Amino acid sequence: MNEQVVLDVKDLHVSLPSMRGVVGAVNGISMQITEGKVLGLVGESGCGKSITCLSLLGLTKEEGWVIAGVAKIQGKNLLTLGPEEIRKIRGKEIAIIMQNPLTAFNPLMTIEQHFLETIGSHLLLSKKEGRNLAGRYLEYTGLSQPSKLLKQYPFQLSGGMIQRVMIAIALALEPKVLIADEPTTSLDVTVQRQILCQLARLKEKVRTGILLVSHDLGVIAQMADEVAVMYCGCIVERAPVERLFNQPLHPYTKALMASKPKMQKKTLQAIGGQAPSLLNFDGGCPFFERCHEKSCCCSHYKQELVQYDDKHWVGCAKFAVKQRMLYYEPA
Amino acid sequence: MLQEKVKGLYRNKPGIISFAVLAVIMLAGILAPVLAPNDPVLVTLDNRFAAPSTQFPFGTDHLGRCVLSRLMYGAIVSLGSALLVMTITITISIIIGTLSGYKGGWVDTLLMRMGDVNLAFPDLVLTLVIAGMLGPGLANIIIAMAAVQWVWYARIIRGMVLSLKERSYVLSAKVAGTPGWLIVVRHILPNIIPHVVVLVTINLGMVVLHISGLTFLGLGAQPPTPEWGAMLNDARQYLRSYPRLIMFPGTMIMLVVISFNLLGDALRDVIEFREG
Amino acid sequence: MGRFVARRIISLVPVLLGISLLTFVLIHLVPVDPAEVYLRLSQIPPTDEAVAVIRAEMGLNKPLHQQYFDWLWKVVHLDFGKSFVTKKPVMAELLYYFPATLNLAAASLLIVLLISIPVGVFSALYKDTAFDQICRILAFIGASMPSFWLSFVLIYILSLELNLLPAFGRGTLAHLVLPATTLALGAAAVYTRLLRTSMLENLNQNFVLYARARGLKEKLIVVRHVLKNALIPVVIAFGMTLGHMLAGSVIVENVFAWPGVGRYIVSSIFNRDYPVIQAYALFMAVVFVLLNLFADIICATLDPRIRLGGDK
Repeated sequence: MNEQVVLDVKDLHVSLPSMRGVVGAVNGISMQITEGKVLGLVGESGCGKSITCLSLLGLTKEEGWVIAGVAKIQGKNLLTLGPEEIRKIRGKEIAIIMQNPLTAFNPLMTIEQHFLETIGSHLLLSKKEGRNLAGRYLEYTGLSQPSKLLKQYPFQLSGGMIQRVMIAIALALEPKVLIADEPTTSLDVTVQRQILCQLARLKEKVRTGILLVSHDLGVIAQMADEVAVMYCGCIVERAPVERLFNQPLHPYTKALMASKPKMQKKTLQAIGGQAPSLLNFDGGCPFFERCHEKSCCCSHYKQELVQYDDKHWVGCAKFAVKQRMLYYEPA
Repeated sequence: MLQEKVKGLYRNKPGIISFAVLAVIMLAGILAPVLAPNDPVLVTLDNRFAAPSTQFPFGTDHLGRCVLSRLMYGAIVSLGSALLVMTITITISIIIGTLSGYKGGWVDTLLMRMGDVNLAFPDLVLTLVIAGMLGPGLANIIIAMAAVQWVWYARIIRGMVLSLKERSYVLSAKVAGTPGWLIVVRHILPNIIPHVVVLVTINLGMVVLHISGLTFLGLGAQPPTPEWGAMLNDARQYLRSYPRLIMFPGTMIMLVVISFNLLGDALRDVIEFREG
Repeated sequence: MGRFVARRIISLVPVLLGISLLTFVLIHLVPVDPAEVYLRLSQIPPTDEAVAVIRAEMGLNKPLHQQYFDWLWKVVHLDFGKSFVTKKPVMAELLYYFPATLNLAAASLLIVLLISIPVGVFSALYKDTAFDQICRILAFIGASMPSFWLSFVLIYILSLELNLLPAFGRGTLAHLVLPATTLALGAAAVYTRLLRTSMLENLNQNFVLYARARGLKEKLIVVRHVLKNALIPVVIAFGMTLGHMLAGSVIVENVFAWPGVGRYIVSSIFNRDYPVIQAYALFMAVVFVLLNLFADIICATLDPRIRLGGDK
């Protein structure tokens, strides 16, 4: 295969202290982001998507947080780098588009100042060169009159415009990986579509690998090449996008698909029950309580992804090799 | 609800301690005629600057008066006048603030304009000037402070009333035909008063500071009235030889101010935490 | 920017009128007849005739509104009347004493800045460390300390015991240290707390996270993103504080025998020099209003939302 893996995450764990014990926010996820491809990370809110993104950038270094695993970019493990080394990677090798673009910009600074400080933190460019670079990328994202825009303040722009600015800032340094954390959630539906198309085009241009995080299956279906379904800090299923939508294996994925609004159905299908507390997570199946397909052996199953076929991986007791043997054991 | 809050306050250690400190000081002031070892204004010139002894536990001042007795009597003057200032201020500002917030109209316009002008003066300047025009004296200082401060409180209360007025239970009471005064008494005042209590407690420390400051300048209580600021003023000439004369009243003022600040913080935590 | 300043200045007109009205009314609080006081201060027996003459001279017989407009007309031309005691124009007297007060307030302001900005910033950055805890306790005590008492403690230790600094009067830079420090400490305590809270609020802002995610250096983030935003509420409060310092200097000036407006006004109060008291009120209010205007303008230069808000 000539597809190059630009970011290789293996067994990422993030746990944080709380009043009542340790919360396992991310419990051993692995994923590969490939050059020029989009990996969609889908899951309900609170399942650890954002924490995963932030920990890849080394932005979860708060007191008591424990981060374990390996995240390799160009041979370097992001999770063990010193503060200055990881700083050099942020924005340059891994760029991010954040959830709430309107609050992500410093209200006291112009768009140009945001651009220049980002570029200046990684490259030795003159102001003029920086300005040209900024203007060029603003044009790429479909914004007209970039030179006028650069002089404006964030509060003078609309949500869609400022999200495009954010994309332009992220791509201006031609990062290897772009993390897009719910990039369109706070925008109007019409603007959403434009932004996604723009992102898809730019991906081709810059050859960036994208980690697209969303709870919106529509966005994922439109954009992603491969999809990872996340639940309670675990990846429960991973497959190419068409495969996942046509033949979901994990009960949670199925439930997620069923809860998507459809024209022919009058009622929305909700997933019954609530996600379990991640307090002192023991590594068992997190979907156990809500699962319609559970069986006796699920309760002592340990969550892990197994290969179902060539490109399809799933983490459910039904497909686990060892557990499958249990099925046939006489009671 | 109320019980919970009382319990919450009970658990707040700085709050309890500061309340106890204030209560002791206040009691000492009230019971001074019984407890004080000596007459606070009795001048005995052959006993000036006496060192602490059993007869004069804190010693005597430049006129041979008992410092401890003066401190005790002074408590009632300093704390009492601060409380009086607050009582006057709050009575006026609750009446006008509620009227202005609930009824609106010319009272409201007048209050807002007065507030603008009031804010254009540093508080101390206006107090000083009003007290100056009225002439030195404790009563005049109390009047001046109340006159300056009520506008600020009235504006805050007006703001609270305005937001409460839109609450659904007030609207439904209105729809049910409850007369305005009853709505105010039953639904609005009970909701305002806890917040006002917090404000008042926090600011009482400030009032004590200002009163003793003005007395220190000679504008407040006139000699020989025992007042902490006045005692400091008396002692300033003897700073080099008898620094203890400065220490006693200064420590008292600071103790009271710190206690009011801590108590105010504690009350705010307890009262405003739940209501968010 | 020009439009913002213009709007802000126009909004001052009614406030200034209100100030003048209040100041004018003040003189009518006087429980005695000012004319009589004037005569007594001038060593003239206040006979009925003499009082009548002076009243006519002061315009006290005219209707109230007439008196107000006459007075306002003079005030606009910076004529505040003459001091009862020295018989000199009040304005000249105030301007004579004002530089000393301004000098004191400016020095204190400098001390406040030197203390509260570094301490506020570092106690926010190193929240809950021993440094932060100690600073918070000191700030709490500082805000509760009567300035007149603090000044005695400082005089006693630094001047009388250690003989390091002069305790009274004005002259050398050394004379400035004690009064300026006394005046500054209370405000410094307040500002340290305010800046700390404001810094902590801004440290949690989304734009700080985004700035980190873009790989900015931490120093740049703290200075440009956190501190600059955190300073806005502080600057707004600063206009107020400088005014309060000018007023609060009354006590400090009296303790340290500092020859400023504060000492002048207290002696005028004891002398019943009413024109001076009245002029002082007006003068301080105008200074206060102008300082607030100045603070607003600084804020507008810092914050484009204020500057451009109306033009969007």
